[in-house]
Amino acid sequence: MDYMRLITKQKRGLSPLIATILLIAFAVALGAFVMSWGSTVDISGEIDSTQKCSETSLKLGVVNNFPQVYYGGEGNNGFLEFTIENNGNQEIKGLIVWVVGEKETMISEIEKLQIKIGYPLTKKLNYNFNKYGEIKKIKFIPKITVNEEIVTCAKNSVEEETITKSN
Amino acid sequence: MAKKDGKKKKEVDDSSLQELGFKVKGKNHINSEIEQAIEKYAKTRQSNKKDIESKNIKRFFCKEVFDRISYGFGSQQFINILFFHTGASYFTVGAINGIRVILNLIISFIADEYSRLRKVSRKFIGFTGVIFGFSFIFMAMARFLHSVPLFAFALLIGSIGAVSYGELYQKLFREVMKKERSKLLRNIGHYGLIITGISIVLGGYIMDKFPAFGTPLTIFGQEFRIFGYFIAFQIAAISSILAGYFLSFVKEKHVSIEKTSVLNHINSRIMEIKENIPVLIRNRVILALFVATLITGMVQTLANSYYGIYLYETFRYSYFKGFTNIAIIFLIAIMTSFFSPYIVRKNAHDYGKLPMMVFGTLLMAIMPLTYYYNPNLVSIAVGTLIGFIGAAILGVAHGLLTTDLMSENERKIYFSSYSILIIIPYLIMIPLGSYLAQIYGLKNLFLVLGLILIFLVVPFYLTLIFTYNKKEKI
Repeated sequence: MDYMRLITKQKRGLSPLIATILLIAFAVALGAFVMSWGSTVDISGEIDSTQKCSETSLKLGVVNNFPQVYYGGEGNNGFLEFTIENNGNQEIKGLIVWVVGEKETMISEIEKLQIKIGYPLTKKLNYNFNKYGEIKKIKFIPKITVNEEIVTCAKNSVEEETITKSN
Repeated sequence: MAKKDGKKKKEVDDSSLQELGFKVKGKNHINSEIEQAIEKYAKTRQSNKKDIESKNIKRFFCKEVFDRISYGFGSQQFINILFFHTGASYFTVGAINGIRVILNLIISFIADEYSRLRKVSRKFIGFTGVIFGFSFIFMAMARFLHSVPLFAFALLIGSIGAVSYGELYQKLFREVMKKERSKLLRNIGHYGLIITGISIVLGGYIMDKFPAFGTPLTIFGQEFRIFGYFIAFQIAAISSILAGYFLSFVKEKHVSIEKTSVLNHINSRIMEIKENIPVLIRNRVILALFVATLITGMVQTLANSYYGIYLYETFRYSYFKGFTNIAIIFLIAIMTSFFSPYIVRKNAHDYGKLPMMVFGTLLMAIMPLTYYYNPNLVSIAVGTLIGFIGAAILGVAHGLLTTDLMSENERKIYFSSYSILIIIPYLIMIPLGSYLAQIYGLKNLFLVLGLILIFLVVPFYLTLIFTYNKKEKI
């Protein structure tokens, strides 16, 4: 028994300091490996923006069968007001608005937008009646994020030709 | 004769059979008749006991199986993603998760203290499981209606589930079951992990197969839309409700309980904790342990609120797609629970507990840092695996260290006071972290959380190691 005690007393274990240093070194090496290794492996393939766009959908707000698109003002101080809803499965991050006038088409890009799924957006745009003429049609094209880049979903646009004057 | 048999039965319930024999002999009954009656009743009692024990085993087993199915289909990561898709902001998701954790702790504390005074019936524990199940139904409804307040309410109601699988349930389990349980229940921990793993993968697959915008289905000429999240959460709800239902049939032993006022007891308990905390924290090791555990807990709560959301949004159309990605990643992480405790116990003995806590914390930090530096599903899977192993190492080493440093009573006070003292820091820091996520984005939050673990938590343990660098390992 005394002999056993003598052996265990003489046997020196790993000092906590040395054990800590070894373990820290191992953890750092492991972390560096994990954070650098995967970056060369790409098994994802390209994210299909078409697939993501297919889940994008917009619709104009409608109240009592009237689409919620109005124009108002005159000359250089005209405006256009609309309400659109995100009824798809993708958050909309931007919008391209075409306003087709008698003389010219106004293209307006609304960026840094966020229309969550199931939520509406009401917006007012300035419109120059002298430059573009009377409004014939309006078209909304949604933009979404794919792989942290903004992508335009041209096929998922929504158009409206019934535009009423604001009261 | 029937009256005499009834009287004998009552006496058998009150004292041992041998003592009974002596008592009854003293009342001038025939020896052989007495011995026959006692032997007959002892056999019946023995077989009844075995019968009850066997039924209890089956009921507990069913309860455990259904609970595991519910954990898989109603995984916290799926819940957070659906909460986000309902319309909740990052801030709301993080803050509500924080409140849920705090509610869990408060309910567990109150339930534990209540159980010291009053008998908490298995029906009550089973009922809390039923409420937990219903919270999934409300969450599915909220997702369908795009109602953030209803979803938040359902999530908070679900915190009552802490009773149905927490310390109170464990206590009931230990009271009712013998030490040597059947094979079924002895290995339920391992089988349970497999069941949870299969459930989480199935849940992810169902949610991807029937996406959130609804899959049209025509039955008997009527068109319906089915939603994957609805199916998965219904399964989780039914499993939880069934688990509670099975538990309500368990036959429990009668335990005498002191009848005093519950509120007075809770107040006196809080006073006792208040008096003992200064004594406990005078020990620098315990104080450092407490603060480090508090910070680590906050980091984990915040990070766990957003991992699923980040994975879903980033890898929605790649790899296994959608929810299945999350299911696969967390399945890998769940499987680490098979071997991590063994590795930890072995290495804690060789390296010491404090060095293992440093190691565990550093491994935990790898997980959020991988999400920031290398957001690739393969490396995230490995990072998550390492993070979970780190959490297991930290948890076991923490348990071993508290066993070494404190007596059983001090440990009880330490863990009870931890539940109460973390409330205010959590109420401040978790909304702050959620706000950071809202303003700066999830990737930056993961970076901050990883750096907090490395530069705030690890130094606590390092200080202790340098201060107490003795030959004996702690």
